[in-house]
Amino acid sequence: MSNQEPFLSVQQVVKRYQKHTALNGVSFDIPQGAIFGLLGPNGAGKTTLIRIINQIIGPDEGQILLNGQPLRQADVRRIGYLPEERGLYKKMKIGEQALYLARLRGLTQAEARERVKYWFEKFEIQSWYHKKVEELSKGMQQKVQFVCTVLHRPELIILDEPFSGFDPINAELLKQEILYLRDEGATIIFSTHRMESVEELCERIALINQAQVVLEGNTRDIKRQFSTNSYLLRYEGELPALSEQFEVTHSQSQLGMNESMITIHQGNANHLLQQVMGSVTVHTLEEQIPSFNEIFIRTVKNQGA
Amino acid sequence: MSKVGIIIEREFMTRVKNKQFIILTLLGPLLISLVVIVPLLIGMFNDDNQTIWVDDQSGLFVNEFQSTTGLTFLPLEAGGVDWQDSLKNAENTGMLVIPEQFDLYKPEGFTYYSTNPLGVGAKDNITSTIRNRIEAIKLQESGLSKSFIDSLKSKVSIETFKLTETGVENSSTNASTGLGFAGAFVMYLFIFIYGTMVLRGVVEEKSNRIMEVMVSSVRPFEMMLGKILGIAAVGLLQFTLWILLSFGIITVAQSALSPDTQQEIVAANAETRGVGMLDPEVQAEVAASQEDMGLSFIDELKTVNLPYFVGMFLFYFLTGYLLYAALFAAVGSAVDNETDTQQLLFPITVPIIIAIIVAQMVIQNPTSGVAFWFSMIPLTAPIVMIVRIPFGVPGWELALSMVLMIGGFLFTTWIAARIYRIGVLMYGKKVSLKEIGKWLFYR
Repeated sequence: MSNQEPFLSVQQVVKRYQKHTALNGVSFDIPQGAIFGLLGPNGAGKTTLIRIINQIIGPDEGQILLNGQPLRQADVRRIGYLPEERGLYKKMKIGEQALYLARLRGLTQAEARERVKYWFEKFEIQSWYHKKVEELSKGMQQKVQFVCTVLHRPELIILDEPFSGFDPINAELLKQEILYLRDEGATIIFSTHRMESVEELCERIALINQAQVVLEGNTRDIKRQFSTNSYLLRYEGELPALSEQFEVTHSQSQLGMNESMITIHQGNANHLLQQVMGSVTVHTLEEQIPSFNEIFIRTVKNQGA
Repeated sequence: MSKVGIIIEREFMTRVKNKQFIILTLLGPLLISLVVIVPLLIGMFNDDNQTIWVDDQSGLFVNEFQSTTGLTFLPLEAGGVDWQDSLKNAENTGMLVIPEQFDLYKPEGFTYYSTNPLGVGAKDNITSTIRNRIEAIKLQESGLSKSFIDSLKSKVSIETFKLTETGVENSSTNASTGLGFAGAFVMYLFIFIYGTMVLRGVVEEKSNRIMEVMVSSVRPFEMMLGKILGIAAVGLLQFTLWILLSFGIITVAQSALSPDTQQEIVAANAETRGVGMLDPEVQAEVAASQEDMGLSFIDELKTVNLPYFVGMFLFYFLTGYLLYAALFAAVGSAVDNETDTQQLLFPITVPIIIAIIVAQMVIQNPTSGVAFWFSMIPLTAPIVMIVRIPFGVPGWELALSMVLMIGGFLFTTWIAARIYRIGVLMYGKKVSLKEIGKWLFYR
């Protein structure tokens, strides 16, 4: 994947407002067909970046390449955007709205009709076609909005907090759809605060804080980078004295089972096992991988300090 | 179809299919025609005949009270019946009692009895009959003849002509005034109604957060343009329907009332206006002159070039609307909800209101300096110029004003577009005019 030309390339993008700089030399690449997490605390500049990718506003410096070409106005039909603050015309029938938005994204009337039918059936919302938005619940509206985002088969889908307002069942449905769209070849940018969905879905992330990318890369690599080499050992018996390369940071006993948190300063887990195997019965040995929540908080706090 | 086209289509269709629009479009002409038809109908169906018994104890008013349509005077036979009792049971019947003696120079003591109150028209009729009779008696006492007094009254009418390069044209102040002012008022209403519609539309998109989705598909300028043009189409449709339907209803109603009844109604109107107590000759004359007036207004209207007027109206409506609609859109883009618009709308509504005030001055003097300047300034020109047009406007003035109008709306559209593109994405901030001014210079 790395030898491939990136699908979307953000290059040294700078955007200044009168009193502050929203983006200060932001760069990252997104490979074709990836689910990319765009993370960052509120006010970090995510929305500004998304608006620049959508060509709602222009960057002061830098550029954005789509398939190696600078973005053009015509590219909007290749992009599907679900904003965080999203709404629909209250008095308009949802079927008509979906058609309208699809046509504005460049579909013909006939294509739009066909796509609306397909997606409404897929989400089992055909019966809502003639309803007005004001008659729908918030969750229902979110569904319709998601459908409107992907109607025109965009190659790049940008979802800003897509799960907000969804109940667990519909959130799961949405997740399946996102994976399905990825399998169909779409590239997805996913902006969120919900780190558990990042862990489940994203292959790559970029963490933006104070107008800059502070962390970027493959999710697995990032986790390794943040790993503290801590292992949780569950065992029965008495833990022997360990050599200096291992440090027991914490121990407790629960229902006849002992648990110890051990940091490996040198060597690896196999060496640890060799040392304890003679004295105790090992049940599990588990690497303590930091959650993205921790990584997020740690990175942002470190930067603030 | 271009994106602007798609937006125009939506803006147009959602409004035209709206119940409110349909009701207003049908109701408007009805109201307009009611203004014309109701007086006719009232004259026609006012058969609530009121009977007034006249107990003329003085004997001075024999045959003086003339019955009119809806009002019958009957002399009370001498020999007092118990009329109070019979009056109590009679509807629409009254009793006028004229005392045996009263002071000609201080006439008092006239009384009226009835179960229902005396109408204004009937009261006027009675008092003027009494007054006229008393005046006649006084004249007799002074030794002057009535015909001499009548000959003193002179009827003056001025026929106005306008000198033009091609000769003399019959000009028509009445029709010009009426047409000009009606045009200005309709212009004022339309600019306000449709301007506000644009404002509401923009605020709706912003407060419902549709903007962000839209703006990623279309450029803000296309959005604004589509909305303004779509609503312009709604306005033109409504205007055309109003004119056609109004003419239709009035024509139908007029043909329903046969010429005979119309004659009767004119005569009846003349009578109720208090001509009844004059000599039959004078009555006829007055009726004729009233009919004249009605006819001559239509004739006068014919001397005004109506297609030219309508054409000009459409031009000034379109350019004036475009000019103001852009400003309304800019205001809509700068606020989060409709209640915040008041302060920002102020600078827009002031010129419209000034224009309608100036229009009333211009009617008095359509060629004054005020008239000239206010019909050149694009903000006031649509309303002021439409007042002047029926009076005739020199070609160069009209051309200059039209060029300025086009320039004016292009300029406001440019300004509005710059405000709009910033405003639509700005949330949660109450902006001032100063702030908006800064947006003009953003890149």
